[in-house]
Amino acid sequence: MSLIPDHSALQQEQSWITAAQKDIRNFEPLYRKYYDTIFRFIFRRTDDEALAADLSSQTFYKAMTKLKSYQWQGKPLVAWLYTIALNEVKKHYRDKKPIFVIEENKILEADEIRDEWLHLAKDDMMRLLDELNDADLQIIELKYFESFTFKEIAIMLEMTESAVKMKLYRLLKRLKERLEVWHDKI
Amino acid sequence: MTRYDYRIRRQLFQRRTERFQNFDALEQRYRSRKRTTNIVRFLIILIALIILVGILVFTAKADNHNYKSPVTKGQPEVKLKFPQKDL
Repeated sequence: MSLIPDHSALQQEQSWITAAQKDIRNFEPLYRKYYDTIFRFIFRRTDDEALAADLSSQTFYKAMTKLKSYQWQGKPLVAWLYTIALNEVKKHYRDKKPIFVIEENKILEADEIRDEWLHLAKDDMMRLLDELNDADLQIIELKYFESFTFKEIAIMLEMTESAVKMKLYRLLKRLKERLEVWHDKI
Repeated sequence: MTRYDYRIRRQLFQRRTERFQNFDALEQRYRSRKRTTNIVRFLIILIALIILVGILVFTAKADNHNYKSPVTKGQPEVKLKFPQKDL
């Protein structure tokens, strides 16, 4: 599912939000549209079906309670839902080590990182990911694990598309340099 | 020691998520919470009103008592007389 709907779909979404702000029953189309996306996003951070379902429900419940104060800014509601979902996951793992599921199939689809993944010891890759700060890790995650386009990531992170591209390019370059240093040491 | 507990899966979640979806339950929870909030809000306003009315009644009653005011208009000033020796 694309995060960036065309103009008419975006208008449709806006009308759903306006209707839901008047009567919460009208939130259902938005719930049906984004449940799967939010569930998978949370599942990556929980690796537990039941917990992911609970946190997804909590995310939509929070969205429903705060919907009256939501102001339409011309971008899909899912960007806002992601923020709520991330907060719910953080709240759940406040005193525990958070989980992050790496989906191997997705990495193998990505030309830029596939070769590194195949040649590198998995532990090294995790160590490498772990050296990134949260913002950098989020870009890698959105691009390679969630398979969002640059345009979609730009909307979610409130950046320009070219800024996202530049940041990811620099990030990959830095990771490759880091890898070379490791290889040299070995 | 890593920040995350990284886990590698071939594929993230292959099954469909429809079985987890239950909008009716969520809506019911929302409405029940809203009802509770409204009742609590109503009770707080009611208690505040009762307290306000109580204060008004109390102060009104206090005004009705015909206490002698320390200085009454039109009453001659009290003249203090001291013996000459004290002055």
